[in-house]
Amino acid sequence: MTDSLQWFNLLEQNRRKVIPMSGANQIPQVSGADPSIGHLEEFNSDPLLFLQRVHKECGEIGEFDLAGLGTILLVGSEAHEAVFRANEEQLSAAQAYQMMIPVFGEGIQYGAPPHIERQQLKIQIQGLKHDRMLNYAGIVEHETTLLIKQLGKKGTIDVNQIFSDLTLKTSTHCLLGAELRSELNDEFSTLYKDLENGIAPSSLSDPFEKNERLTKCIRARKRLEELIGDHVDRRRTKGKIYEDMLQVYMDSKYEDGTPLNKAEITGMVIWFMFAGHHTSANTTAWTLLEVVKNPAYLSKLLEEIDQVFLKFPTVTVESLRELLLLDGFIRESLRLHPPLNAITRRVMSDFQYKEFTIPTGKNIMICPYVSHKLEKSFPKPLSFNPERPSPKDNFSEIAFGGGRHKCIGNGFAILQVKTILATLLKQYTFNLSELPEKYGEAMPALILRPKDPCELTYVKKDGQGR
Amino acid sequence: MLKKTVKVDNRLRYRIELDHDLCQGHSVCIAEAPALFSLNESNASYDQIQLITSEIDEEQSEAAFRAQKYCPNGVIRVLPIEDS
Repeated sequence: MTDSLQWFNLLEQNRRKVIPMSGANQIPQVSGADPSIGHLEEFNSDPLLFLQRVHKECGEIGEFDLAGLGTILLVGSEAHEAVFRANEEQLSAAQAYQMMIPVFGEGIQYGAPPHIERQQLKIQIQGLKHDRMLNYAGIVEHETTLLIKQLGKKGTIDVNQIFSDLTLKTSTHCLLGAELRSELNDEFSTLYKDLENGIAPSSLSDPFEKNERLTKCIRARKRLEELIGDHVDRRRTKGKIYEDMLQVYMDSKYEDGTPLNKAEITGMVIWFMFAGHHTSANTTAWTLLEVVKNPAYLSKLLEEIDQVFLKFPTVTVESLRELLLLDGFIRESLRLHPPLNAITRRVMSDFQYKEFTIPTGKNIMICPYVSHKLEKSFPKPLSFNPERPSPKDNFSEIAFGGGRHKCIGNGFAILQVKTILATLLKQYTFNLSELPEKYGEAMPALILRPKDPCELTYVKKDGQGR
Repeated sequence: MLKKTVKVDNRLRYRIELDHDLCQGHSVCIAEAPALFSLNESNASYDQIQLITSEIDEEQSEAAFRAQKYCPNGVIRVLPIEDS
């Protein structure tokens, strides 16, 4: 297990390695490094602006320095493929994401030995298989219908707030079941927020930095373990079997026959929530914002939604598949506003990419925000085009990462966002409440979302009143 | 050199390819085409999809194309078989 002392030692080793290599195959170094902390301050203050600068200055491959942690930004589908196809022994996600250990808990995912992490991942995917998805679409539609009852005929919503609340409910309902969802209260929301705030850009360079943010995160995790542990006990007493992820965790066993203990079940819940909650909330918010900002496609989109609801009275996996333009809106929103932008691996043994050798101990970073704007992969990359054809390869669009560590919830995320937006757009017309240029980007806790406040007005369509 | 697609009894033949590096065993393909795909419960991080048959005719191709279209990881390719 890597602890903070080992981390410090690793930083010290890397500090010595930041000295540029000589020779023809030297990795381009980005300018402006501070002699003591390198580019850390610039990265922490605006990671996306900084990574764009690295790409502009260095091209496909460029190196920067996060207080001694030499980091190489790789840009483009060819580079992504090389990274995503590399095995864990060469490029390690576990070593790069040590900052997740305080959030998920010791013994979970990257805080567990590789053979345990592998089995935990397998358990997670059991709850995300196609047969399970069939149930989830109905749950998400039900939760959105409850929201619609609260919204009434007209008003103003803050999309960050409203979709954060809604996806907390949908995720909790699908993950932990109807009972815990009905008990969902402000304490849960606060605990999740404290967990999410445990991660900041600086966590990449110093995952165990002692600060109030991390203290609150660790406290929130302990409290969640109590709440979820109580729920597990009650469920076991009742003896009833449920169709949710919690049941999967409760019934699963490691290969040696040992069941998951309550701390591990809690860690699995947090892992799932952490991966899926805010990323889905933000994608829903961005997509609705883009729907409103691109009226040229609106009538076609609404017609598509009406036609699908005529054919299928309730949301199902089949009905969602027919929402092709909505799918295009979501994918284009994910392209221009990818939630996660510092996909990182630790180089465990020298990694060769084209004529460059990336030495052991460095970090490799991939940034979808930068790569999704390459003209080569996406002609007229800055324009929003929901009818843009998908790239032919698997490595240009990387909002969910790629390879063995690709987000396993990608199907669930798309299902969730589509269901929420189809249900809302069927009933409401939305408009910007500010001038378009007022809607910007923000990236707290390393997740890109619309800048606060992000308000839209809404009016219920004729014939849809209560 | 121009390549010709292979026909047997005047029907097109197709080859299915799976990119195992990227497969996470979501099993959408099994739901769409149970005669063509099955689950190999491996010792790796993910159960892997395996092909029951890699060469199919036109009749089976519709289900294979659905599997290709709906695979969340885009790991399936269905290609017409061509004369070499």
